[in-house]
Amino acid sequence: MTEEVAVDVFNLAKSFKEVKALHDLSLRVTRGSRCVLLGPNGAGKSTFLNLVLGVLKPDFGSISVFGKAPGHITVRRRTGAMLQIPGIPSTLTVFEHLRLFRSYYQSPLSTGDILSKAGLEGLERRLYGTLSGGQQQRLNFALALCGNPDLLVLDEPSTSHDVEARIALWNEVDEFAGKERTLMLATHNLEEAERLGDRIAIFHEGRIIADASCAKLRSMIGTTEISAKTELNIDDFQCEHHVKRVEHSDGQIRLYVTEAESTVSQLLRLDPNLKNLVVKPASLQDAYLHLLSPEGKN
Amino acid sequence: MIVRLLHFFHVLVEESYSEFLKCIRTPAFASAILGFPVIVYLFCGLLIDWGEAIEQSNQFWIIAASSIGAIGTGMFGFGVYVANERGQGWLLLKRVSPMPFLVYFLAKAVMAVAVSFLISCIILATALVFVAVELTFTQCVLLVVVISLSTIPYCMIGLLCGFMTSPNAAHAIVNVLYLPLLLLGGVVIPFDILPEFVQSFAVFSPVFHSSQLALKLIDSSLGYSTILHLLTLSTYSVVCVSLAGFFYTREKAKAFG
Repeated sequence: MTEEVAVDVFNLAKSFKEVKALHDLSLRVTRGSRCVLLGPNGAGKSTFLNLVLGVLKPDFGSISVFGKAPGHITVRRRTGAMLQIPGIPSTLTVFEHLRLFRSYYQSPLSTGDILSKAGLEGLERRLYGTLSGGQQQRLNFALALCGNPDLLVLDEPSTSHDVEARIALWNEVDEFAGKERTLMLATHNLEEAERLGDRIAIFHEGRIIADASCAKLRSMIGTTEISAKTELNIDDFQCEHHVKRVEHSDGQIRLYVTEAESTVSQLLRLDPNLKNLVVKPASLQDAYLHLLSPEGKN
Repeated sequence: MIVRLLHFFHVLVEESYSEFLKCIRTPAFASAILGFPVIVYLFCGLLIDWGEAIEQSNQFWIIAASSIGAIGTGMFGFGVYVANERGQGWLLLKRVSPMPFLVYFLAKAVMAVAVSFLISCIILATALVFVAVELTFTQCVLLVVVISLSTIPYCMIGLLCGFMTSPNAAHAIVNVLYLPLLLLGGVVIPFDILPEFVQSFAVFSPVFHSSQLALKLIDSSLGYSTILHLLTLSTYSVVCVSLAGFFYTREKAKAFG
């Protein structure tokens, strides 16, 4: 195992009684990359992160983090985790929480650095219980930064954030992760996945059904979405090689294509009277919904 | 090795300090854990004249109320708190951090002993102010030390209650155990006025042994050997910690952390 690989998972399986939470799951995350685990609730993302963190043991398969078993002390020193509902005690101040968590590490970041990176400046003396929901999540994030980690594991970090707080947190995560640190982030927020991930693993029913860059995932259904109101039949487009997918409803046709210009020309030639022509890049949401649909899964 | 040891103690000090702050800032803790034994002493030790019903009643109630403090601190202040933090996910976050896991429990035990020490001091000070208690300085010091250290077995019993079932049920289980332990252990009701059949199984209670250790200091114990009391309390502690460890490992294997 080289240091180039941060997390290496092979043939992993985990069940809770009769429920198969994960099966036949393999994933390799290289150092400095940002891997987003995207999927609906119950898809197995949090279970997977708990296995990577060494909180759970797999039933089958292997996991290594920086070449060691998950939960090994050297791994924990290099990992910062932000979990869902950490139940942070409400009667300690921000400063006291940071002071405690910093003591766990032999070379922690300075308190000032952590406060600045997590956007908590000015809130040092506030008790956790008196912080707003967004500020509490920031402290949760700040605790993950205390050891200046090489691997940052975030489980749905922006849940319960308003729009502004969410964007601020994304900026902070983005800035901290930089190019050196490895990021593993579980979310069901597509915008978050697109914003923070350079690689997206889509989880569904305990399996990874797609694992690629955001651009590549979009290209699976076509890079551009063209929609128009037209009398044309969808069969006219089905066999075109650059048309990846066609949808038709209420006289509105929606094409996902790789060559937008030629498709638009063709559309206008075939139906000069078409209306409401809209051309836009295909979104991750389109790709995601397609992959989760029965058609996509096939 | 020395660096690791120093780091361990540094984390222990920080963790214990945080526990202390959490405790003193929690009104429920201050009122229930600190307040209750002091009220018991004020009411039973100062207001009621026991005459000859209880031998050396002043000293007895100092020990009884301090023991109530130690038992409550260990079972509620340690066991229920650990269960709550386990249920709320705080324990999970600690587990994924590089904190030495033992420190988490040691710090809470240090805190429980410290709170127990504080309760004993408050009760003793109250006694010295309001009544002429016949205790030498050495007896006072030994009393505080013995009562404070007797908190540890109750921490372990509380820990077992916190891990043997769901975190939400821990408080209920401790409540169910707490009162019978007090009543049967010869703390609230002196051992020699308990019915004979109750006495026959009260001698197996940890409260009986911890209170007997304290009562030895005022020559009011039943005369069992100190070794027997220490062995019994140690056995309770080891068995409870082992069972708590077993339940914790079993839970880790089958459920979300």
